[in-house]
Amino acid sequence: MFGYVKPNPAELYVREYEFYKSVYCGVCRSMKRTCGRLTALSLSYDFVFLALVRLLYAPGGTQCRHRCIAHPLKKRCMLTDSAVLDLVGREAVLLTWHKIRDDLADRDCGFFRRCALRLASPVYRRGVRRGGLNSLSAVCEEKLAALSELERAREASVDAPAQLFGELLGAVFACGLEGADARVAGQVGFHLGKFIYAADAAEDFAADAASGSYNPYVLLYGGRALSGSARAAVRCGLLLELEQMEKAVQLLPFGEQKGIRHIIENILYDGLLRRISFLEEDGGATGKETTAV
Amino acid sequence: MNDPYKVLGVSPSATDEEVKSAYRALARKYHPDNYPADHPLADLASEKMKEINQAYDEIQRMRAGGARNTAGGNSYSGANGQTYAGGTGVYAQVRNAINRGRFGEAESLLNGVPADQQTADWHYLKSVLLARRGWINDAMRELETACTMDPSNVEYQQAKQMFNGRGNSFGNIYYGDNRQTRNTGCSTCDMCLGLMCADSCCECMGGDLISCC
Repeated sequence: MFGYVKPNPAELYVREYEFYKSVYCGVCRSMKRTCGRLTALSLSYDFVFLALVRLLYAPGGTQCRHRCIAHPLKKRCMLTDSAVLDLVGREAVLLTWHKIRDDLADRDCGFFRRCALRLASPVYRRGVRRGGLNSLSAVCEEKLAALSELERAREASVDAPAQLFGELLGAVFACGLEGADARVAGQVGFHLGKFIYAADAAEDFAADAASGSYNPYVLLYGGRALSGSARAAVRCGLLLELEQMEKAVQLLPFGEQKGIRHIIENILYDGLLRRISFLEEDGGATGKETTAV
Repeated sequence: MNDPYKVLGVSPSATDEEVKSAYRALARKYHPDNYPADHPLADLASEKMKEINQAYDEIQRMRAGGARNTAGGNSYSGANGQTYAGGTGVYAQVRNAINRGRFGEAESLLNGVPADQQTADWHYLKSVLLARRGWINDAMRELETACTMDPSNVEYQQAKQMFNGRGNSFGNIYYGDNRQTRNTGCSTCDMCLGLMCADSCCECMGGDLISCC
């Protein structure tokens, strides 16, 4: 479910990619500070996208160079002093914790995985407590409960669960914003969430068909792998979702922040498309290697 | 208001063509067709569209004003009232301006006409400009006024029919109008025809102007 939203660095300017990485490092750093050292392990690129969107509403922060555990040899550029990064860090911890709880409740979860999750659970619980965000946490809980309800009922539609996941991500994106800003950011998150849910289900098709886990596409199309026509239908739905997302993204307040704009457009038009290239006619020969060139 | 050049994302030194193409690209992006009325962000998109239109008009106006100051400063100075008093001259200018895409200029020319001298043509041209700005309701009202003032005019009636038929490219019926190109003299069509005539004449006399026909 996580790690879906990445840019294609080959198409970014070097300074933009540096900025992107500095946002990643900045979120990681602020997670360590606000929610505890270990929580930063779960940071994924999705939250960098969230941070980029939110940085449009509250530009600022300073670039500085620090060492960290993951990169002890070389100092890395990091964006610091930004309330946005703190917020995104807390949201990342919150979502991860809910995912852990969700996975633990899942009966299909294997033994070793369950052990790991049990170990991680208290760390994140503490992180969530330190992070606050109670109202967002309530929304997450509600949406995820409804989602697992649908999964138990083996709902044979991808739109219903995707809608719930989209609403969840919309709330995450809009958290702390008001009025028109909240609507635009919420719509970006909403359509991104729907896209991620459906794309994830399509990607896991073969594995879920073999293991019998819930997957709306398996229930819809059956078989061991997605057939040609089903693949085309799934891809079309995903592209339409991206089109909707584009409409919301266009209304983000880019202003003079051309760098962020370029990164966000790169993610939307290139990164996300690459994620679903496995649905193309030729099976997506270019697959996942986003840095190919 | 924001800097209109920033809104369109072009530098103040950009040429008219660059400004226009930037404007077109943005207008396509935020066009109401992309955000139907039931779209959750439709109102924000239409605000954005309005902002873009205003910025474009502003730039047109600034550029038209600048051109007048530098090039035509003396031709207009002090003579405004008299020039417009004739009535017919100014509308030809407005049509010319619309044809050349200088909407800001057209608008300021129109607004310079005193209220008691506004003919049916004035209302018609006003409605063209309003429609281009996206103010469809006002445009329709102006067109209605023009039609009641001069019910026999074919041009107005055609425009009204296009409105009623929901022609989504309302502007095109004006900008591509033959009647206006005739004012400027020689259209592409005229030139082709002229070349063909010249070719036939040459062939009569034993020569050949265009060797392939």
